[in-house]
Amino acid sequence: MAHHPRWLETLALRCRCGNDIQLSSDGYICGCGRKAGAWDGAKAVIGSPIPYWGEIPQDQMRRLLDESERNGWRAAVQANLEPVLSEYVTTPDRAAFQEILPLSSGALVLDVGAGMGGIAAELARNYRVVAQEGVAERADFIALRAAQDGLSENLAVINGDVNSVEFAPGQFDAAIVSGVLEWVGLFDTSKGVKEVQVDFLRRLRGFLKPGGLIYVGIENRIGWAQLRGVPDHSGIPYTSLLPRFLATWVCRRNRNYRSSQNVTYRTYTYTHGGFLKIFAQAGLRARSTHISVRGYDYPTELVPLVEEAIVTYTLEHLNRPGGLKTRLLNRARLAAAKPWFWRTFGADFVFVLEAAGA
Amino acid sequence: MHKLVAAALARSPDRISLATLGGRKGVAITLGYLDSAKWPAWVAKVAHTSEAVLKLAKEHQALLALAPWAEELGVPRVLDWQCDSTNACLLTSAVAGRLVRIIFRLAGEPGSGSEHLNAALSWLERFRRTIPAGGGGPAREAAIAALAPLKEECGAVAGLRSLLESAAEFAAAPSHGDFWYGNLRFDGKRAGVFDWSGLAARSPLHDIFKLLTSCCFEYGGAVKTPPDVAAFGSIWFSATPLARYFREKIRPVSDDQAELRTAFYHFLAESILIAGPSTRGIWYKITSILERRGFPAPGSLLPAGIWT
Ligand SMILES: [Zn+2]
Repeated sequence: MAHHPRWLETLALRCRCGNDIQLSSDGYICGCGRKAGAWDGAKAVIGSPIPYWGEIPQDQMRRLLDESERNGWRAAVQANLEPVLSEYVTTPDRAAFQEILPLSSGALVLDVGAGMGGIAAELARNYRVVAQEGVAERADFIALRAAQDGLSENLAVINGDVNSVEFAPGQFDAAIVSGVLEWVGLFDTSKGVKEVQVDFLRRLRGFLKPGGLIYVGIENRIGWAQLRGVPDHSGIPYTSLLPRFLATWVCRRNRNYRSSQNVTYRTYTYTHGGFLKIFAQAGLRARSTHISVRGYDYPTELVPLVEEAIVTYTLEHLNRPGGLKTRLLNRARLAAAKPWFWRTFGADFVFVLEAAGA
Repeated sequence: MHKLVAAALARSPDRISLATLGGRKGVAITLGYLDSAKWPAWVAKVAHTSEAVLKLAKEHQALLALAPWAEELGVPRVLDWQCDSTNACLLTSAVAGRLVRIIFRLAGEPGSGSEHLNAALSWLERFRRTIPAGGGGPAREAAIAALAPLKEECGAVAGLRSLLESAAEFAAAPSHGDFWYGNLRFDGKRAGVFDWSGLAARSPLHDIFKLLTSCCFEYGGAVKTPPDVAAFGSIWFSATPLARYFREKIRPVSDDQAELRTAFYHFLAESILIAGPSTRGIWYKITSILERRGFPAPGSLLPAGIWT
């Protein structure tokens, strides 16, 4: 039972029988006799493990884990990962959105699909964080980095699939859904994509305390990056712009890895209005909406859809006045510094959601 | 979100939208906008590292010292402050106005940028007249103390070190310390100034050197590209129309050759100290070229070839 934060014992899972289950020295065991999960010394393991997937192949991931244990995770990451990925895993910038999240210190936060733990570890400096991650190796990595950085008292790792970890209702102050909502349609193919996404959000809403928040970072379906041809979640450019049936048709005809996973285009993103609609269907509403100019993965520069803020940001990021082309481009960017334009074509959205009745 | 930001949101009767500019040297900056207002209502700086906390504490002290003249000079007012060893938050009013990039082309006549340059220079003049000597900032002893880390940083350049010995003699008045156009806002022609962590007693020429130099370097987007060695040489050591124009801007403030020279190298030493790791080498290069020429006063003519 060693190595878990005390407070984890007060966090309850919900058994299929309807009872709450708390962590004991034998793991998560319900009064009905069902064993929902175990504590393996570093992390809680809930349900059956999901097959490995991730930014790097499994054997490289295992090497990374070994080396992290021997030399410290930062050194291991720098030695084993490409610079871009290394930056992604180590930078505190991925949690920069916390500056706009109205949480008090010590709040209990659920990081959904925590990946390599970049966000969870950073949040654990200020809050108590439950990092939920489906892949065992990545969950181990999060636990390791937290321990080595002295954050274990504030960070608990739960290794279990998004859809199978069922918390008892009303426990979290916030849930972080950064780069996750667009993928959930792939993990449940039993119903329509939008339905899966709405059910996912509704379930998360249930985990929240009254007044709790859901943070969502996600691409705009018709954002300027998509219009410029940056690859969509299918691995193919422009698929988000197509009607869904056409996107499916394109994915079926393409042999790239991601599109083969995406057999019937199931990684939906939406326009601003489209997002508000699915939030409403899940009983949520946007408390604030921002454009994350560096992409939702690096939410250091969050611009609210307020004219003065957009103009200020644009002025500070104009190109140095030079030839005719830059002058025209600068003029166009200033002309486009309007809330309607950013709301329509901004690359990535960052939403803070609350229950619609709140 | 820092609790001072949460408190500011709770205090406001109107809806406030937050914008963030983060990740610079351990400081996250959050601006609060009222929906229909011009300019932000307030600015919060949150420091996460002990180094950033120290810098923010200095800025807080500076703003308290300047508070009596804040309205008149367009300087932020302190609204709230909290600090411990690894975390600090400074909440201030925002400076009214917008960013104007004052940029001059090295070749050719100074043209379009000069209107706002003049507004910035007259702000400096107003600042000098408004703040009594010895008021609004550290006294001469503090100025001498502030030179110590400079002398240490520039220890590699022996001549520069001895030049700095006399810098305190000319440290007659409070000065901003990082007075470039990015730290100014203009509401029409009225300028306001923020980012006061460098407030110290210096020669009044110091801020002018910084301002004029910054108007000739490349600043692409929010990212500063390294200062250009040749551009630096052209502004301060050539006879181009722009160099002459700049000299005319400096003359009314001081024509004393000793002060010009000392203040100029004081400015150069501070540029080395506050430069990031990527640009520090370039400031060193500029300094060592000038060292070989015996640290000439700005305005002396040097052959253009030495800068490349
Ligand atoms: Zn049960």
